[in-house]
Amino acid sequence: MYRIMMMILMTTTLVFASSGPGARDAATISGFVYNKENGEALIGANVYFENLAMGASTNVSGYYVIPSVPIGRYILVCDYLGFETYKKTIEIVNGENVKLNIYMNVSILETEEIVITADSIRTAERLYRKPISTVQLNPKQINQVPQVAEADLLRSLQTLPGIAPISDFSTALYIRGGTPDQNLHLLDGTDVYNPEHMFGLFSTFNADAIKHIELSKGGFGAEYGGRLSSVLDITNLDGNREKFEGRASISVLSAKTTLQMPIGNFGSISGAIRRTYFDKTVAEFIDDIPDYYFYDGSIKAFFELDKNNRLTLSYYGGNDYLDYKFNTEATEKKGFTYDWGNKTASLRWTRVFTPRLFSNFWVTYSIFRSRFKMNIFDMYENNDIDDLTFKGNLEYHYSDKLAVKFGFEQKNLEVSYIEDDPQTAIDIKQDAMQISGYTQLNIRPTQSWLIETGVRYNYFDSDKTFRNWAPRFSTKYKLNETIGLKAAYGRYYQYLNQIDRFMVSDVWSLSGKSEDRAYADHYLVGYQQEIQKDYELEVEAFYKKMNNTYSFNQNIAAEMKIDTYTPDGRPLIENTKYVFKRGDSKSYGFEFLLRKDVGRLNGWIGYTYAHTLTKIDGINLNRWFAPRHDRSSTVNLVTNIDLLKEREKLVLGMNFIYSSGQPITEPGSAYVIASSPFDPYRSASYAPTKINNIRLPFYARMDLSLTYKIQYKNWSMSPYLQIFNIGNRKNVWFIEYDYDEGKPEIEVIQMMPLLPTVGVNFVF
Amino acid sequence: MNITKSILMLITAAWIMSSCGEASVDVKNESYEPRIVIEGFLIAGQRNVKMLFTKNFRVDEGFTNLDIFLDLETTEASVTCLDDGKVYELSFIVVQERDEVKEAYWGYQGSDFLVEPGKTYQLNVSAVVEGQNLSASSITKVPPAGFKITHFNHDSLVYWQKDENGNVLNFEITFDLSADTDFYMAAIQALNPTLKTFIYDNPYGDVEEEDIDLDDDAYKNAAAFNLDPSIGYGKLKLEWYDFSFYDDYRIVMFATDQNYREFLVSFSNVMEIDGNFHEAKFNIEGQGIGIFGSMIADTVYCKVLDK
Repeated sequence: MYRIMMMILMTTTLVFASSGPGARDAATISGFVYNKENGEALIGANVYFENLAMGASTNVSGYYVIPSVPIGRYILVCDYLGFETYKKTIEIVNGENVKLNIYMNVSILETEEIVITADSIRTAERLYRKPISTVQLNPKQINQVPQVAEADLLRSLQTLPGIAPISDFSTALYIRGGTPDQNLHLLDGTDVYNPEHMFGLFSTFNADAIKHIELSKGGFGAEYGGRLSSVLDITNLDGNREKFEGRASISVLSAKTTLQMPIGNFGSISGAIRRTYFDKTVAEFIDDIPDYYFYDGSIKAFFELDKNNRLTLSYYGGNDYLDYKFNTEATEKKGFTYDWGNKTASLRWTRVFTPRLFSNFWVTYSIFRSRFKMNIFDMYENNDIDDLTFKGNLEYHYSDKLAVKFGFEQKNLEVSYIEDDPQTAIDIKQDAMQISGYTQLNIRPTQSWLIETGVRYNYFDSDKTFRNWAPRFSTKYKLNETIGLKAAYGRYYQYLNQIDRFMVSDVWSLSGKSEDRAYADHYLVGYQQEIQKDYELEVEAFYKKMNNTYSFNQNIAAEMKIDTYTPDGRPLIENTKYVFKRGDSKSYGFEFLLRKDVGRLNGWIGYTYAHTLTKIDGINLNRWFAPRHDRSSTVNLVTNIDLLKEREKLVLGMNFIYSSGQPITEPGSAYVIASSPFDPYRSASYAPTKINNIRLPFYARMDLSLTYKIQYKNWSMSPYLQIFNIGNRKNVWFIEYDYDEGKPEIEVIQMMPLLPTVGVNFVF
Repeated sequence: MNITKSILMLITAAWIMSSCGEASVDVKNESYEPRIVIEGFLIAGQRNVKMLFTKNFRVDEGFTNLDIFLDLETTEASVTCLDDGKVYELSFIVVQERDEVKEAYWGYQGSDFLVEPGKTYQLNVSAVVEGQNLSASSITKVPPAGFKITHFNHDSLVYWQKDENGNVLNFEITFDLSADTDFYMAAIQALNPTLKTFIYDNPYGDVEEEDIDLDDDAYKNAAAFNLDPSIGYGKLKLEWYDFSFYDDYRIVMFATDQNYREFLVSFSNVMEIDGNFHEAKFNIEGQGIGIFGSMIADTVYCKVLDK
């Protein structure tokens, strides 16, 4: 397959290179697009000519390029949601490139539909320019989705079609049948490995510090690799380049603040910090509440060195800490401590080599540490990940018909898991180097067609070497002014496996001799349509086949064989040979999304029909079964309504979700047995025979929020009330089986009940 | 009707649906299939083999001890020594004391069956259960001779006793290993447990009297596994959570075969903490579940004293 892709790449390059534009009869227009109010670069802004069928979108750095603009006089238009449309007359003269930085004014009448749509680029065009299966949310949208306690990025994403949670208690994303370990989380270009606080209840990403979110649910281009299912690319705020700006929030969960300010006239800095505080409040008065808190903080500095060079420094750090005592009344107070967290740092150099050759180079460092120590007996667990990455993404805009993206990534990974208890010692240390290179051609043969074809090569060297070619292909076709069609195929490789642990941070392991690399094929087709100017309709069908997916071997204690020992004779486990069970998965379905981002009533309706099947070696007699996260139908409805005519004065938010029941295992039968010949008592045990053979009842939940904004000059205060599960529906999480004196005790464990929370947001 | 109105209608419908109170779960146990349950342990040196063969039952129905017994007329069981081919037919034996049934089990009536270390035995059981002819078989190899307790460090200890340096003292068993045997277990049994002798002042959990189950709490398992055979001996430290009563204890330490190891570490953990299930490892062919395993045992006694 990769040979075919390479031939296509080379052929198209030659064809278009030979028909490139002349230097004198055309010019390139390029530059950055900024928010005039704070100097933030705008990602995904549309720049185009009103009277010429040419245009571009800004990239992750806010840079746009329109090459091969013929000589003439044109009106250049820039459009970005929530901003007034920008227009400027441009004159192209012989061979003179135009460098134009665009400063956009925030629309003061943002919710008035007519202002947004009158001069704006068509909704259909915005849809068309968006890559297939991509979801974009802005911080405002995240904040408006009613949540538990406070806005959470990952929980907001769970309201979109194709993205499912496993339960109310988890922020992890199950995307199109994939598991959370198959999602690449990028924060300012840096991998984040366990993005969870509070045992998965909240994500590590502070919504107030975020500038832009783009989630690709599949079919992503050659610039991304390393995961089977999705890419979540988060860009934090660069910082206000015009003035000091601050935000603060207090919720029942935490207090947080985000501050931004300029650095001279050449840069900016932003910082955010958040900390939970019930260890200092409620826990002071109630003994049974364990000593627990989390904090996270980020800082980002942006420097415009000159007109062609920019430097961005970004740091994130977060940690959870738990000190738990089993019996606080006992003379001997024993328990465990557990602390875990991520730290990431990145340095990005943005370089405009020529107006047509744009580049970003990164050095990123990401670490995850968890430390568990049981003091009731001698046991500790240390779980570490270190990731030092060098990467570069370049894009060359050869003509309005051809752009080339190419780049590299060199990743140095170290993973270690150490456990020591009186019976066993585990000391698994793995390291690997991954080198990847990619090239992708963006070909526009006509105004209606866009073809993106590329290939990514991975070289992964741990205790075994893998070499893999990953072809990617996508195409878009503009059927008419309102309708577009899209299709994509991609092969994806993943060289990491995860032990998914309930409420405890997950453990990662590298592919090698013990576990093969995983790979997936995505097949996607999509239909999109603009309806009544403001409504976006997207329908996508997908088929995803995943191979060599590894899950934790629940019977590891029964199956493990040991051949190395500690000096004191305990078994020493130094590899992951028995840790995982190999499996395959496949998922298919379609998604429907009707979305409206503007107006007094905005939000989206989503519907997902999907099925996922998994087969794990040695489980369920090697038969296919639906995993716990499989749901055949899901309906999402998210709306925000401005109740008063005054903009954002009183906003009612609603989130509704309905999904058909998750599969669960009903034990085939129960039986009575003694645990040993010396055990005088017999108890009931269970013998499951078919895994996930029944379905739980459907899941439904509605959340509401009400936010009232009080404005005083440039200051605002927005108290809010959020009610999670307002219907107090008792959704089923799982079923527990037990017997008491021969009588069955079947207990239904429920998810979160009605949960009202209050808080207040400040902007100053 | 415009789209806005349609959305509002949907919101209303969604509201009504989400307000529908409780999701009910109706457990129908559709995957139920009758099975022979084997509880068969062969202990080296044992002449009086005792096994139980019962049937499984539905998870949504209650049971009594009588319900789960196999029909004696249709049940046949035998143990074959694969080393010499000798077959020992098992029969149902009831031991009575003063007209009361003291014990009932499947055993061998003769005196020529001695479970020997290192030998391999096959169990075959067949029965008619709920109208179905079921059969099951399993093979165990008794661990070779060699295992024995060589040292037990304390006859008695005060609960959470510490030495002069503040280090917590524990009972510890030192034992010789059997060849090719990597799983050793201690069955810790409080001999006279009562609600009064329960250790309430313990660091493991705040326990009220009504939470105590004397049957469950008086017996604990502790295991040492995958020990280094080149050392030739093993040690098992008994943690204080293995003791729930101020009491006398019998500790039976035994070396086990692979069947028992796989059964013990899997059968009670099939229900995972988040509601998922996985299968236990029974090592039984046919329509049987449970355990047919073997072991060599040795016993020590100790006492846990009140502070």
